Amino acid sequence: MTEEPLHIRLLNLMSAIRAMSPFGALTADEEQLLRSLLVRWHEPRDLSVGEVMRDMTEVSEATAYRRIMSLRDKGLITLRAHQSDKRVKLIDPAPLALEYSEHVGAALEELMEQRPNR
Amino acid sequence: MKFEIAKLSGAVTQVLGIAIAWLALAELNAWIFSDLEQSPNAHWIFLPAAFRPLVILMFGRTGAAGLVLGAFLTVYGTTGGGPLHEVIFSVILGVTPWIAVSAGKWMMDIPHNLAGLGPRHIILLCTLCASANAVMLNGYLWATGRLEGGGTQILAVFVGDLLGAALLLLIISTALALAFPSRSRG
Repeated sequence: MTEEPLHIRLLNLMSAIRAMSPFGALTADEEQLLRSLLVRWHEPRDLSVGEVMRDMTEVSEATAYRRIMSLRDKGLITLRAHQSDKRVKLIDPAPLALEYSEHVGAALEELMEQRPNR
Repeated sequence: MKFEIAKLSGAVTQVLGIAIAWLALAELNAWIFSDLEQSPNAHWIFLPAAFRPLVILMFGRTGAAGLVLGAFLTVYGTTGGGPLHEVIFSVILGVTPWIAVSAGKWMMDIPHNLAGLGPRHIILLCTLCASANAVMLNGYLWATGRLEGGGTQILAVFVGDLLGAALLLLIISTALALAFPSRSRG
């Protein structure tokens, strides 16, 4: 039998199951990261995990990496290996992220249309 | 001595609790999805399937013992194959997920305390359990001349376990997400 405390395993298991929910909301930090990625994906060049982590100067590398992985686990981004250097992982938008961007854009347009003309 | 007795009674309580929970889930599944029964041993949606890897992750070998007992309570008197067949059947149903999860934990380097466990790991473990269950369960039935339905039976066990696990995990994860919503760091 395993010796680790039961409640530790239970907490880790519950955390993993909870993350499976399609209704799990993004944290504010994850949303901010996603928004910055959506802007950067407009640039005509590949975006690497290392580059994104280096730009997240307000948090530790571990935290930056965890947030990127969280977006991947929630199906918002996908990772692929660089063609020439397999160690480098590139971040691509998943269909869900593009859908999120469209929804935000549509909501903003609707809001603008509802405002009275000045 | 007292400590050993306390430890033993704790393990027995866990085994009994798991067995009863398994029986309850199996009965619930039979009631809700009675129309989706392929055979007495296969359902196209089998909710308790997710219970197997989760119980093994939490309780290890004690969980496997609970699943064996739960499986025995479920199949007792229903197979027409006698007590020995039902015991062997139950042992297969309980031990197979333990083997599958142990192999999956080793392959994915999941520690005993489940630190770093994520949704991908759970999905892979459920798939491993579904595959192992479909092969072992139907392999035993084939070896003893009790396999009915051939490939459809095997497919039903695999698909039923996967769909059932997906459905149950969706329900549990949504309940957890609603009960414990994410908090952003300040």
